[in-house]
Amino acid sequence: MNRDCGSRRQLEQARSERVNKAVRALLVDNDVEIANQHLDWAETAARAAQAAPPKVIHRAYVASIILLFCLSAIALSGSLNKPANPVKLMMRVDGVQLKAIGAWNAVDDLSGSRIVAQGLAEIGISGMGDRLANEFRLTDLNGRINKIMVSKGANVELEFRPNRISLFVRDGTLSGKVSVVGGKLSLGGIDSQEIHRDLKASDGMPPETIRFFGKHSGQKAIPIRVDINTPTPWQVSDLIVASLAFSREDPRGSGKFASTVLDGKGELLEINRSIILRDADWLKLDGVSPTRINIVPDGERAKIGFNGIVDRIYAGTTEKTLRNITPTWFEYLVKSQVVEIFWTALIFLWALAWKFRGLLR
Amino acid sequence: MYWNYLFSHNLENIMKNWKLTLQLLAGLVCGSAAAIPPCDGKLKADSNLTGYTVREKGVRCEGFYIAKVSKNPRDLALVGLTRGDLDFDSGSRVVLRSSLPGRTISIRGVGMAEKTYYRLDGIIRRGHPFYWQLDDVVKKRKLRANDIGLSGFYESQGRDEQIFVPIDVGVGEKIRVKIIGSELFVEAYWRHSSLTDGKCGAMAEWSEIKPPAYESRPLELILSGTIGPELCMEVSARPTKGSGWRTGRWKIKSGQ
Repeated sequence: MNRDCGSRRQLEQARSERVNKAVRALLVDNDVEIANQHLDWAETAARAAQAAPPKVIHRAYVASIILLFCLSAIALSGSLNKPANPVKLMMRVDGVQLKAIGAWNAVDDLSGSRIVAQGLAEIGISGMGDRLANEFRLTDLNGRINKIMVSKGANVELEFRPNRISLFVRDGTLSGKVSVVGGKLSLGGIDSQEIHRDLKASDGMPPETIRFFGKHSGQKAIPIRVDINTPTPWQVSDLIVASLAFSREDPRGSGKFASTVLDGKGELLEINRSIILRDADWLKLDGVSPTRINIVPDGERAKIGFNGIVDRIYAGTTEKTLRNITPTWFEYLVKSQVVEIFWTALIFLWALAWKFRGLLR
Repeated sequence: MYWNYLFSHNLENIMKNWKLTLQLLAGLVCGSAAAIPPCDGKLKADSNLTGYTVREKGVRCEGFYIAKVSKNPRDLALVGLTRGDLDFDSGSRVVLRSSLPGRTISIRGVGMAEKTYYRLDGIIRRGHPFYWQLDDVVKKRKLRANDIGLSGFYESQGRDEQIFVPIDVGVGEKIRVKIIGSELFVEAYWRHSSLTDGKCGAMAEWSEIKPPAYESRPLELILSGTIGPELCMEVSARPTKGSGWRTGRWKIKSGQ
């Protein structure tokens, strides 16, 4: 094959030399006969080159390799998921599991009619002093829950019910402060005794303050739990989370989990694919990059807004039928506007360069 | 987008306090670890000569920082706890001593007026005084003794809380407490209890504190010698009649 290529090159070179000689014979020697001999030779050489058998086998071989490579690349890009996918979601839920990046204020100045906390280490009540207690219950509450601070890296499960929020904290702890103008207090877990006390601030004087500190729940099986009954909307703004999940065990102890999604919609932003979620649909997000979320009340439940980056996203009507809806590289290359603009620009520039090449010849 | 995101976030954290980080690293390499003051890495220093930075070869971090946009905290903050009256007029430095000389404590100075953005961080080592040079920041920016709240504290072992310690500032014997909030208060009260094994006892009755007339001034009260060397102090104040109360509680060891 190389020899074939070599003789073609020699023939082409010799043809070029003959044409030069013909020109020289005409211009320098004024010898038409010699010039015709050289041109006849050149014409015959050109015909010989055209008559040579085409390199069909070689071309087919190269073409099939390129085709195979292209098909493999397309198949691979069609089956491999792209990491780091921007996703926008807005969902109505009745519960959420999350892990915040830093310590966060889960409750910030909320009026409450009842608060119950379990899994505590210490409770400080202004009029009674600090006490070791595992749990407290404040009912008929006239006061405000000033704050509930969740420690950094804790796993938190939130449940939303009509006029009620429940917080469950694992792998971390929490502390809180309640201002009490009036209410009935019960303390549990002090030498196996319950203490009951009516709290009432004097008229016009500052309220009683209850401070509580949870045990670190890292090694404990039972999480710290706080239930708040509140008539006012509770919300979380700009919380940065490292993980987010929408399921809870139902019924308790069964080992069966149910989705907490009521409905929602979203979009995989790079490929403009919509996500529609209906009641009890499952949604699973893997590899959530630290992202801000907002939780706002919506009727008797809560609405979660998520605008962030995930590595994998799954959706389905049940846990077993979860479908991977993460964009593949092929979808990304075909549908992404950024990639579309890149290829359009590249083809345009190539065509422009080709045009200039033609003009310069 | 992914790389852009990762790059921008990590780089932002590294670059945010590069100057302070370099200074602290230099301190670690060149001097003993004990010489490094507890600089607050969350503060972004003002770029001029009086910006928050390590001063006097690592004795203290002091200066002005740039404000961050954040929500106004509703809680009260204890910013001043001193025995005696701070005086900047008698020299170019002030000698500060801990009320608990047997313990190493941190000291913190803050600008009490809103939007001052001043901070002093240092350490009073066990048995040693702290010499606070005033020329490079305080006198250069014409801060007065009344503008700065000075307090001492240490972290309680295993309880994840701060115990406050009065700073002896040399002149006078009264322990002055200064509390600030983000609002002007129309009424304020305080009360105290014993502090035993890290736990507060039942609080005494409320006593009234005369609220300041100007937003830039703190709530001030004086602890009498009869209260005892270890106490819990609670302060409650409200911005307007009928509004919610702002509260704070602090544990204090004065070593009296």
